[in-house]
Amino acid sequence: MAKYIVQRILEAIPLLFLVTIATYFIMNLAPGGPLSVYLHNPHVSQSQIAILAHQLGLNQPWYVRYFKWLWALLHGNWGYSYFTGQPVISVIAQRLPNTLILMGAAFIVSLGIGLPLGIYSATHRYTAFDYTFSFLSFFAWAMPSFFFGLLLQIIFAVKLGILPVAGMYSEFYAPSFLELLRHLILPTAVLGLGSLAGWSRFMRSGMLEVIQQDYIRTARAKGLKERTVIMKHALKNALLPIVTIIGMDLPAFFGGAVITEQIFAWPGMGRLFLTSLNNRDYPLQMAELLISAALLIVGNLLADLVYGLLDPRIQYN
Amino acid sequence: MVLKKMAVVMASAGLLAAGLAACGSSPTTTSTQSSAPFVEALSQNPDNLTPAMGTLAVDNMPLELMNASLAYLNLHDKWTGEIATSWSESSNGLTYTFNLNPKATWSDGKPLTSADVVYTWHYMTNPKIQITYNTGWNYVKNVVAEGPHKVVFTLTQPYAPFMATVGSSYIVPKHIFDKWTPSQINHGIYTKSTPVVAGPYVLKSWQQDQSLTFVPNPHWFGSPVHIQKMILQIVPNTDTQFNMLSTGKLSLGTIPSSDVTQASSLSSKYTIEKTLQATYNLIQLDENHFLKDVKVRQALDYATPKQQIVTDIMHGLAIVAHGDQVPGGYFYDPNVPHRTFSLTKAAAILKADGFTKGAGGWLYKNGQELTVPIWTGSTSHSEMDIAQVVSQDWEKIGVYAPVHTAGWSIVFGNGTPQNPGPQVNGKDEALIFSWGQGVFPDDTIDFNSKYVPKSPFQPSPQENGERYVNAQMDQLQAQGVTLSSRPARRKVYDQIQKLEQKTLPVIFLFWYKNETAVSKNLHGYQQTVFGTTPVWDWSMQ
Repeated sequence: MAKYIVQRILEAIPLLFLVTIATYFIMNLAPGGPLSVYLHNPHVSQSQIAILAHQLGLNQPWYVRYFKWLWALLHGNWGYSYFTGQPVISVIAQRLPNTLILMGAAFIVSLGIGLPLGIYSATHRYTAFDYTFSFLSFFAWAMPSFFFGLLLQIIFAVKLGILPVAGMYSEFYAPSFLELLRHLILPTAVLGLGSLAGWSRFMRSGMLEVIQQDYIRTARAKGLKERTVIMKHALKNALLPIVTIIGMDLPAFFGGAVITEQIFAWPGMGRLFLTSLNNRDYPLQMAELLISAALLIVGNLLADLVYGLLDPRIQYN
Repeated sequence: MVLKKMAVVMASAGLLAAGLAACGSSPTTTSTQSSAPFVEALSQNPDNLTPAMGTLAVDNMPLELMNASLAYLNLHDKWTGEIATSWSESSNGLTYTFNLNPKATWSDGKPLTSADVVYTWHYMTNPKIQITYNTGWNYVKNVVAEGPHKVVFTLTQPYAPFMATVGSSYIVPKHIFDKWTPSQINHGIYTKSTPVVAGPYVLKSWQQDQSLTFVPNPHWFGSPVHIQKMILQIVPNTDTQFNMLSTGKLSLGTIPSSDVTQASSLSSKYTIEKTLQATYNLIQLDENHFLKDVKVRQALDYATPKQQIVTDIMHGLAIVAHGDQVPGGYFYDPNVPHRTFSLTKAAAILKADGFTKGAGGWLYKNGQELTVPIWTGSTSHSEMDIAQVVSQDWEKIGVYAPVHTAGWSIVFGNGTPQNPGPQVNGKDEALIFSWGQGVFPDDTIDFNSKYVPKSPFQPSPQENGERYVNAQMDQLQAQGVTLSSRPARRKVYDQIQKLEQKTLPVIFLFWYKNETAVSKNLHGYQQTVFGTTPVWDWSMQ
């Protein structure tokens, strides 16, 4: 197992290297550049822009800048944001915990509710519950998050006045866990409901496929309780595709939810990514994309390892 | 069984949510007690609060709270002393002398003296520091301290916008910045430490992408402030900002143009004020082929439905523009003759200019079709609507005017040699965007021939992207920035406005108005196109 993990990590290094070249190249292909934000500013002179370009090294070709960035990265320096001047790693460190809180809450809600609902729907196929649940799942899945978010704000904050419109803490009180939970409810509902609908559908279809297998019929013929058949024999195998999806979703935990964070003024990675994209803040963009790529690789590795735990036929030795 | 357990879990979650909601159901009532804080929403996180190093409009409010300049322009268009108690200008316009307030103090208790003003000159002109805005400082030849409370600026040439650029720059603390290298300043050491400031408020906390909180500066030397806590909350979505206004949570807020029709729903908690902004919307006509011909530009001006745009697209939150001097300002000439919308006159001008209808119903001259593609930013809904309306009317007179939308960096950028951006491609193009030199009259960078891009691939910010060349304009603008007499300058800018209307470097569309919701709990707040009442005049009930 350890050898397998080390091998996968070693394979990931050239892959990440290629990812950095590709992303840096594509980023520089995009029209405009970090100083294009000044193009529409009557107060910034041409000579001042030339000075800034020189100071930021933007007058050099992209590959020169890339190798300088890579060299600094190999020495543990992720660079500085072009716009705030702050070290990239500290800019990310300020937002990452907020995103983990939001995405973690949405993950718990969607997994905690979505998987049981998917199982129940599969085991009660073609019942009124199944039809209703399917309809609501597709409805929730199709609901745009910006619309749903604003709708929840109007109902629960503007009309009923029982939840805050946006933000992470109240500006009137010292930050507290209770305040955090109150502010989490609406964005978690928006994010959680979308994922809940998706994951429950995957769970339902996975479970439907498994419960038609011979070994399930055998388990039932042996006289096992239906609950034991489903939870012990069927669930493990039905979870395999879900594990893959969760593994692929790992970068989203880091990347945050751009639209939901915008709507609810949540100070997370999604907003940071959007801002860095709009500003062409290359050092910040590179750090975000590199970490996302690394997490995708880690997520896949974890998913493969979990396969082994769920399915004893899979061996890594 | 599973379903029952699930129901219990969901019911518990619902109860928890309801409980949490109930726990927080009274914050607004608590907040309206005695020392209510002032809360305003900013659409973005400020990028840099080190003076003169930021790039965003949202930097202005926090910078104003924390900093002080020698003088500021009040809401009645009058320069008022802040650090300076008085000042004078030499008769040749080459020397400005400021007397500083002897009570002026930094927030750490150290005195603010003329040495800080001299240091600010070195700071603003240091090429190793990433200053973004230092217009005017390049005209400063020398700054000399004559004692601790008197400072003399000597200029390289008379420079009329001196107060608007140099005189209103924020002064930085020498004893703090002197300790740092340019690299440390560039990497934000100032805002990472507790910023030492000279303004009425100090920064208490800055939660990135969440909020900035300010409390009164204990060493503030000006009029005492009444509000004990100023909170700027970062809320990027304008609909969310409107929802926050609806809950009464904000003390002050701009109503987004998409929500102006709902503004009346706020009337129980807010007073709605409409204020003119010093920003105009325009159509830049890139003069490469037919657009070099002033008659074509005049015809397009006649065929542009400005009043319809103001009424139908801007919902009345704008006034038609006839030039680039802000209406109501000292340099605004209300008597500038202008063209009223008339497709008949537009068609007649083009016909007299030799254009005739040809294939597709479009106008042709010397076998070439009169094509003026219209470009605007894909992020601006109102400008996209304006482009469509203008296109329809131009096409009615036979000008082929397809609409293109793209990101601003594409509209103003180079593009690639195979696919150059519209501003540099050497063809007739029309660009719709907003612009403005503020309430100050100098428009040299916009229409002076020395700001025409030097090569086809030299885009803005050589700001005369339309490639307008007019010797009379160049001469008038040179006078406008060097004359020290205000009435004499006004005569120059009157001529400039008339010349703008006659020769149309751009088509001026409208001046923006803001609809601002002012909480009925906020007192002493007033706004004009020149600014607002100073923050020390504000109070919260």
